[in-house]
Formats: sequence, C-alpha cells, structure tokens
Amino acid sequence: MKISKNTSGQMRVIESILASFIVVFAITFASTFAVTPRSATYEVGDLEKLGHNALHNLDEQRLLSRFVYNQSEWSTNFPVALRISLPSDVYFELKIYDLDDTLLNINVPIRYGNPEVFDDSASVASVMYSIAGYSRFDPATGSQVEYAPRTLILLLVRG
Amino acid sequence: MIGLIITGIIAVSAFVVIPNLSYVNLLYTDQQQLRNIALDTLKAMLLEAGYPANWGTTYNFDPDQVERFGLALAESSSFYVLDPDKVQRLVVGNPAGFMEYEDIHTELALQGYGFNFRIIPPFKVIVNDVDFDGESNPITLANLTEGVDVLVTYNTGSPIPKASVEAILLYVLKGKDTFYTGIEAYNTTNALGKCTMNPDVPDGITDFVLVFKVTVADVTTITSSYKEGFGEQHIMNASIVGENITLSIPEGPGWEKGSAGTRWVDNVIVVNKEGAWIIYNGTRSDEDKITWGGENWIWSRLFSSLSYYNPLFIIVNLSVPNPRRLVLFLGPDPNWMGMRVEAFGDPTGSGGATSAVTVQRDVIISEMTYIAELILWKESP
Repeated sequence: MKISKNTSGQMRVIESILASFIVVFAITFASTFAVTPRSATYEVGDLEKLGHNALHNLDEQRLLSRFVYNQSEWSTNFPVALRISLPSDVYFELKIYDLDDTLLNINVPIRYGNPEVFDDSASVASVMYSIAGYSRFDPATGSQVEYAPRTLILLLVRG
Repeated sequence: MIGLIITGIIAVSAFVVIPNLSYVNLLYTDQQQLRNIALDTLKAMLLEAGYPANWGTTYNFDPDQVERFGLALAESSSFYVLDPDKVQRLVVGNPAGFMEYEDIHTELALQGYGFNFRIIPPFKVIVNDVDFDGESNPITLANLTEGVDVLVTYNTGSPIPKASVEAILLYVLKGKDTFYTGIEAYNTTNALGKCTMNPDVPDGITDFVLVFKVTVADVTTITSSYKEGFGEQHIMNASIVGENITLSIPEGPGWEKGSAGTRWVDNVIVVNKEGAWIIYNGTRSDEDKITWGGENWIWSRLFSSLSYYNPLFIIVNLSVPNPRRLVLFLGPDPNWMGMRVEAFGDPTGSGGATSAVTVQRDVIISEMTYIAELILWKESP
C-alpha cells in the first residue's frame, strides 16, 4: 500500500484548529467581564438602596428606635416590619451593635430566610444605619437613661 | 482526516456556543438596562414633586398644564413621602380629573417602553373570602351576624399571625332617618393569619359599612367592606382633592334603573388613621341634592382644614329613591380598599414583551405606609 506523502495541507488544518481555539477562548474570556444584572456590583447597589430606604422609613415612623431598644420586639415585630417593608424576594439579617462593637442580638437573630443564603450568595448587600439613642425617664431607677447609640448592620440577599 | 474532524467539531461547537454566549450576554445586558431604567423611572416618580409643585391640587385639573411629572409631596422634607392629591390623579375615572397613561409615558420619556404602576398596602387584608380566591367580597347580613372572616397575609400570600384587627361598624336602621356608628370589634389573627370579627349587630339593619384597621408590627393599613346586595351602587364616584370633596353619580351597573329621582347627601364621614369622623351634616336643601343629569349631577364642597385629617377615604350617608332609604357609600376608588393606585399603565400589559422587570419602594401617603411598584418592559418594535 502506498501512503501519500502529500502533507502540504496539514499545517493549514493545525492553524485552523489553533485559530478556532483562540476565537472561542477570547469570546469566553471577554464574556466573564460583562456586567450582568446578576453581577455582584449591580445587585448590591440596588439592595443597599432598598435596605436603607426600609430602615429610614421605619425611623421616620418612629418605630425603629422602639424596635431596637426593646429586646422583646427583636423576635416579634422587628422582623415582621422589615419583611413588609422589603420586596418579597429579598432575604435579610439585621445585626445590632453598641458603641463597643458588641453584637447585642447574638442570641436573637433578626432574620428572614435561611442563614445559608447569606453564605452561599455572591451578592450580599450590607447597609449601615446609626441611631443616636434617646434619653428617657426610667421609673424603675427614677433616673434618666443614658443615650445609647446603636449601629445597625442590615444584610440583604435577593432570593 | 483527524484534523478535519477536530476542526469540524470545534466549528460546530463554536456555532452553538458563541451565539448562545452572545445571546445570554445580550439578554443580561438588555435586562440590566431595563432594570436601570425602571429604577431611574421609579426614582423620578417618587422623589420629584413635578412642576407646578402642587399640580395635583389644582382645581379644574388640566393634564396639559403638568410640565414635569412627579408624585412627591412638595412640602415634605423626607424622601418617599407622596402627595395624595397627585397620587389620586393616577386613578383612571377620577371625577376630579386624571392623567392619561400616554401623558405620563411622554413626560417620563419612556418611548419604546411600557409600564404598569400601582400603590398597594404593605400587606393584604382579605375580608370574607368565601370563594377562596384570595380576594375580598362584600359582606351579607348573615355574615355580619355570624362573624366576618378576615385573613391577613404578606403580599406574597403567606399568612401573618398576631396581626391586630379592629373593626368599626357604621350602619343605618329601617325606619330611622340617620346613620349610626361606634360598634367596634377587636381580634388578633391566629397562626394561619385568620380571625373572625363579631361586632354586636343591632336588629333592623338595612345597610352597613365595616371599616377594618389592621396593624402588623405597628404598621397599619385601613380597608373597608360593605353590605352585599346593592351591586355597584355601593361605590360612588368620589374624589378628595386638597380641601375639596366631590361626589357624582357613576355610570354603570346598578345606577341605570334607579337613576331617576333625587339623592340627598345627609352625612359625610372621613376615615383616617385614627378613626371615622363626621365632617358634614346635610340639610336636604338644594345644596345637598344630586340628580341624574342637569346642574345637580355633581356635589362638591370645600372643607377648610380637611387635609389636616389626612383622609384615607370617605363614607357618604345618602338618601336614595325607589324606594326611599338610606344607603352608605364608599369612595374614592380604590382608597376604600386600602390601596391608592390599583393599576395604572399600558392596558395591553407586558404580555408580548420578552422580559419585564419589577422594582418596588415603600412610600408614605397620608401618614400610612404603602408599596409603590413599577413593572417596566420593552415594547415590541
């Protein structure tokens, strides 16, 4: 059997393969830089606005301070108020810190959604909101309660 | 030969993969653009007061005089506080005048896009859902006697337990020439978001309205229901603009048959966050007369400091003919249902669009919290 020695087209084939690889690779590589609606940058910006607006509205209605300073509200009214203020597909977790950065609600999570969604999602928005605190008369001690500023950290994820 | 096969496989893969990648990216980019436009549009609608700043409160409303559109309350120093007069101009059929979809579409420069806008309560209060369709129904006298079922849910449909429900009964009695108010009932929803309201019902009731004040986590919504049996007659064309209340006979079912004869405005009751307040007692003079056609087809009164009440809706005690009796009417539409704008937008909807986005913000109107929702889509070329 006689094997043809004509190999002049083989280089063209290899070039085509390489060219195809380069084209596919370039397109795939470029597409990773596309900013899509599901990209972290985009989602986070939108969620931050939503979260800040929700906290601000509760503050405007003089509900936020009451919720923050009454521990009995943390597992009852506070999560419900946030849930009705935020779109239904947004999960949240709220953390309350004092001036020493101590997490006050460590044993009472103020949350809607499974805790794993915050770990698994690449687009977690974080909103910081401060409450200056307020001075009030405490009948138990007969004295004015000190101002006690609180920092709220609201984490948001779209479900 | 092997080279040719490999090249073929790569070429075919490229034909399949590349267009898909490009299409997905184009779709994402398109959606992102749509979402950005929706957010900017909602922001413009809710944060801008428009020009003139009090465009919603002008009498003899002319949509052409609105040079710039926006729903924000001009006097408010807070964000997302809306002007109830401007919001009511988005209610198609408002007897005091309203803006057409096309006008706002042009004002917002949304050429090529369609939208739908609504302002709904932060949670749902469903009264007497006898057909289990998730919608409220009018109440019969039997329902009222046995107890009226109330279901409170998030807007997604999941129930809200421990919601505080308060009902105020306003009613008229057979043979009596006045209306009565003040019978209240209180209850709290159970784990399924349900409760039954059992107000003490006096004998001889011929018509009634039940006002429900529902509070969830100190956020309140107020809605109402009415006695079944008079059909559409129970809803009257009404508007509250600034200090002015306007009533007129609506066209439609229930009104044609009994359109002849005089109707007398006996009382006007304003419902706000705090309760129900009588603000007007009629005298059955020509000033309180409403007739079909002619110069008395509309009733309009200026109530100084009405806006300080922050009225949500009104109840009108009206003497109607055929046979002569007292009937309680609710208005304006859709405020009496606890919402502000039921659906304002392209009547064709987003059915033909490949993608649509929904954006929401919570807003304050007359000291009450609502959810403003905008659905935007790209119209087919």
